Amino acid sequence: MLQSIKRREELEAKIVDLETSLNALKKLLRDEEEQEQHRDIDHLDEYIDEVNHRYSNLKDFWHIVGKELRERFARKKAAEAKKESQ
Amino acid sequence: MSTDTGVFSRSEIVHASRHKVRDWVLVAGLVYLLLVAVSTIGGGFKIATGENAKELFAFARNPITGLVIGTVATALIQSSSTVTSIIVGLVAGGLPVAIAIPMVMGANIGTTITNTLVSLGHVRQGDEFKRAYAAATIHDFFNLLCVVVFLPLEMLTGFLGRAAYWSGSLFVGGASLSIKDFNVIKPMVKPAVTFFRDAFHAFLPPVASGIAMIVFGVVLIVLVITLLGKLLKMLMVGKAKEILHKSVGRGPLSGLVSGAVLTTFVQSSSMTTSLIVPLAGNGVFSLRQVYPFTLGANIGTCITALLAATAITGPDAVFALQIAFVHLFYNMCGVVFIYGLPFFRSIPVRAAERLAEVTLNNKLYALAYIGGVFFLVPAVLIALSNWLGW
Repeated sequence: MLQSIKRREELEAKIVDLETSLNALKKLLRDEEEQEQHRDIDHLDEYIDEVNHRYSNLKDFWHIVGKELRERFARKKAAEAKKESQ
Repeated sequence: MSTDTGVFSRSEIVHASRHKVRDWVLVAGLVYLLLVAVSTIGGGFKIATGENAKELFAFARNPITGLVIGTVATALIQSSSTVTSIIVGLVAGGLPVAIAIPMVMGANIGTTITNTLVSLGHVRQGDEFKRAYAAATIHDFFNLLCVVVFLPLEMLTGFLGRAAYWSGSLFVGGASLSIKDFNVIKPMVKPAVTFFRDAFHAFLPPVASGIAMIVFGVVLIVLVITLLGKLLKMLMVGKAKEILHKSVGRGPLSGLVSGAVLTTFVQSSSMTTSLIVPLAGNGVFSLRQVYPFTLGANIGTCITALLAATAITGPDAVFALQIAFVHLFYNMCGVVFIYGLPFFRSIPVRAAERLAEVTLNNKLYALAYIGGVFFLVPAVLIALSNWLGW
């Protein structure tokens, strides 16, 4: 009986230890995340520039959309050609 | 002259202070011009339409048409402040508030195009694009959901219009408790508006001078808000950083307040919501962290229309304030009933994440989404509602 109580107490102590460690880790993670957020906020001037140049930044997007459209048509053409040959 | 240690000389500090004072005087001047422009539109609309404003806008009596006008106009101008200020001016000139309410709701949808365009700049960055795109479109989905919930409710009950009328009447003397005697804006704006009205009257017949006043007012608002935005961005970048730093790690309410305060400072919700796109794209802020910030932007942007409405004089002043309050109450209801209820709150998050997922694999979805939500669906809705005879 005594052994069982001791065993339970040991387990409870281990849980408390684990919870303390877990909370410390969670806090560490939160602190690191927040530090990273503060660092990113310091780059706000660059992000304002990004907003100001939103139209010129769309060049890449148009390029990719054009490429995807061409690929799509090419696939369709190839499928049709295959069908005809069969 | 500055030293290597970064310490500035006295003359440099004096020079910078003078620049700052000059810029703030310019901001005050631009705000004054905004008020004059809104009043000029109101006056012009009244002169041009006489008592027929209601008939003139009969085509927009259908709420879908009003919604689409607000959406497309804002998407094209990319400034909800500009569109809502113009709407305030038109209401002051006789446009019925019931017609203007869906337009204001549409302005909320239209303004979301800017941050979506900003997010497309990250298109080559894979997961970064996915996060940025989701952060941008969460605003769209939230505002769309607001319209789906509140537009039919408003049509059925008129709760926004009534609450806004009561609030507006407090300011213009319609209610027993009035603070109209404290309004210093109207006497300041009136001489300039009278000057423009007389100037147009001197050269044009009445109806043409009214139309000229409307066009002049609209152009002035667009110019003023564009310049104001640029100037405030420059002046407020330090303050914006300060606000954002303060909101870090403080939960959704702090994010909401920060979004509202920042938008009030820069007078542009699209600027605020666009700024968080790269922040979310980098993965430093999660989608759930930026979400309340965008809602704050919705509330902060209402200040422009409220400010504009305070400049209106005459019997329609209460309606100008009413539509400005509708804009504010509508956005507040969105926060309380959509963000406040877990079921509704998660809908924009899930929709934005799903759209970002499919768009990452096929960029054509982005094109279809922008063209569809901001232009094609509105056109189809108008055609459908006309066909149904609404």
